[in-house]
Amino acid sequence: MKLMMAFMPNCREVAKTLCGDGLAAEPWHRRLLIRIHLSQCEFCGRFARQMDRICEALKAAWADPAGQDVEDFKRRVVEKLRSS
Amino acid sequence: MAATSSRWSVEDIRSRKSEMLTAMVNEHLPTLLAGALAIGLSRSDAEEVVQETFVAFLSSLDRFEGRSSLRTYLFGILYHKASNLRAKARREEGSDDIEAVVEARFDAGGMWSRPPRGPEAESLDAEIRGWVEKCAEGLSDSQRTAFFLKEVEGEKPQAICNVLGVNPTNLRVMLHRARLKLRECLERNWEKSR
Repeated sequence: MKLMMAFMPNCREVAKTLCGDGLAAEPWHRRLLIRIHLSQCEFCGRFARQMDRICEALKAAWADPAGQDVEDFKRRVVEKLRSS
Repeated sequence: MAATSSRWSVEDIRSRKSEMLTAMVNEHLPTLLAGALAIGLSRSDAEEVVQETFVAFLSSLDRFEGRSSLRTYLFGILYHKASNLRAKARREEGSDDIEAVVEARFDAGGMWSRPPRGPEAESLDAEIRGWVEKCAEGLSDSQRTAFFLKEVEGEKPQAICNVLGVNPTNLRVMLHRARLKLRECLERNWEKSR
């Protein structure tokens, strides 16, 4: 246990990982330690959930904002390309 | 010349056959339009830039060598056109102090001294979504583009680097700062609303 705690990343390091390439980019042993940290640290857990929510919100906002008028716009672009 | 899709090739496009142009536009216009809006353009500016992107691609077909996917190639054209358009409206944000803002949240031992606050509900309500969208307006064009390509389009880092003309380290820093900025902004909005 003491050995594990010696290698346990601190909050700053956990936050840096979550804002960086994410857990998937970490080696398995580091992922495990970060997951243990997240399960025990209320603040880092909150930070992680907020990061997830931010990504979800932007995906929802940006994935299909074009809406209903795209078909007409497509036709106009094709006409423009044909005449260019 | 490289094939660009299972349904049509550059030769097909060069012939300007209506059905081929339609197939290309159908395949790529929605993503380009979504990207232009994500970068921060108004709907009318986004449509203009998307149309210009297709026209520019068609007028310089020979330059497309097929080393990147057509989608990222088109997105590269779009990004530069959109950035130029936005540069007229506002100066691109320079270096920011977000790292210092976040660093100040930790003590010398790397533990939280000012813990994160703010919403964390499992289901996103409209208010939180609205804050995040508003906060995204504070990101630079390159940060928004990188975020869009990575999180929405699921592009690989190298393809995003090609679009933005940055190296992988720059991209990592760009995305890191974008996430930090968004979270800090979200917390500020949440505190204001209480």
